[in-house]
Amino acid sequence: MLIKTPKSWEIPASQVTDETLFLNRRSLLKAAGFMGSSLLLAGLPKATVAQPGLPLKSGKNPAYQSGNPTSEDLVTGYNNYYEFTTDKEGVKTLAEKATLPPWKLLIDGLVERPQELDLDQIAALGLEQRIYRFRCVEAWSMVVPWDGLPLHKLLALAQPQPAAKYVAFTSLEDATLFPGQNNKSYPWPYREGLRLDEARHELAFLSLGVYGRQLPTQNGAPLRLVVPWKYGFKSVKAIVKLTLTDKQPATMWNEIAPREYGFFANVNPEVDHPRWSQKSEKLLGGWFQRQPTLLFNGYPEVARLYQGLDLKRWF
Amino acid sequence: MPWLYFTLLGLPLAELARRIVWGDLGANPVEVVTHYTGATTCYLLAWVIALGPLQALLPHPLIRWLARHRRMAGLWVFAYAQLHLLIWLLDQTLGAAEVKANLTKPFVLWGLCADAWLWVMALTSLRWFQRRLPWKRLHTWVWVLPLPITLHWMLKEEGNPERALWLFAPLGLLWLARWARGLSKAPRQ
Repeated sequence: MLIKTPKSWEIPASQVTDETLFLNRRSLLKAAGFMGSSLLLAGLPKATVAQPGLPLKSGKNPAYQSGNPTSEDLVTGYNNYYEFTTDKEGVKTLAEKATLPPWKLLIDGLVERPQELDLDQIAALGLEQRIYRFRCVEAWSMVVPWDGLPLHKLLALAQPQPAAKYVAFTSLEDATLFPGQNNKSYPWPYREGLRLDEARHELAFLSLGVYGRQLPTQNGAPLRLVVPWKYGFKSVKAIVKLTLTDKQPATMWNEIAPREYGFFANVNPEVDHPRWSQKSEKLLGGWFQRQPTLLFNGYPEVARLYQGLDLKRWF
Repeated sequence: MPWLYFTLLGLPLAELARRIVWGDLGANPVEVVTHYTGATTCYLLAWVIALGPLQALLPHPLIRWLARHRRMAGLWVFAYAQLHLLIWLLDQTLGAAEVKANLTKPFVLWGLCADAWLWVMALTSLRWFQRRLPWKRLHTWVWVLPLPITLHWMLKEEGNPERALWLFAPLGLLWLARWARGLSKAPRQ
């Protein structure tokens, strides 16, 4: 039979959408999708790219509101970020010149469901603001309102396998973005690690913002770790990968100077850095605001993680 | 003209005073003042030490004049060093006192070592000692100062040996140049 009877579901060729139009429509839909989800993050499109300084949708968590935050210009203008420079007050100028690439966070290793998340997907988990004390190993401290989410929420997405005991964090390596990474005496990229039970503790926090705005680049945009009971160098910045492992991961400062920077790096006034005392700290914002350093930086609720552990030996 | 030289050497202090008055010291003023006075001590010290071989290598009247007034520059080095120590001591004793905890740390010990030597140099440059001691020979020992200072610089919180080396290593080259020219004896001042 040469006579073709159209089936009821057949669409005449004249009605098929032109391919170019179809592709355009898809990109439009995609853009609309971005716009919709990015409202969560910044209220502006293209939220897969971090936009330091733009407002962030985040609510105060009433459980973590104690403390008198250090002023915003000090919080965002004074910190170590060796990827830019070793000069704490030189970081900001260099960082403001840097443009962050589109970001993906990978979660891999011993997990049931490996993840590749963009910033919107992370923000969609719900952001909250917590005021935490921040204590640098160099004996200065500040009080910071971070915006982000507890790390356990993110780990739950990936479902760590029973064999997983540690989380390894890897920071971005890109010498065109980070001039300090041209200094090859440091084993880049910056790597850090936590025991899985530490990473799952309610206080362990993944920050996307500070003071209600997206993280400025100098503070570790677009996302960084905040572990308030440990020295600041544990709170790795510009994270691109979380890897669940069964072995203690190598960490950068521990590799450089194992006698000076332990894997745990819990804030402890009784354990001096070999080169200086940790008994007190300089609270930023005044001349002589030196205050006693507290065990676990004043977060005694984490002590149960270290029961039976000799904190002097496992510093 | 010595008064002009004296004033020039005091300019870093004037600049520091300006920054203090204008509140231009950032998040950690004590750290800024400590670093500033420490660094100024080092720069001036390098200058004072360099003048020795320089006057032998470049016998220009200006160099000779500057070398003759080295004592004044040396006393400024001493002054900046004492300011450096003073601000650190204030920081360690006001508020949560920590001076005892840090006093035994190597970076503090090397700094104090260097300072003790600066005291010897400053005291023996008083006229009374000048008349009674072979003080010129004594003062050539200013050359040992970069060693404890470099260690002090390396061992502090955010150790920065590169800067100390950039500053003091050229002094070694100058000394070598003078030695190579067979001028191992400094001319009489």
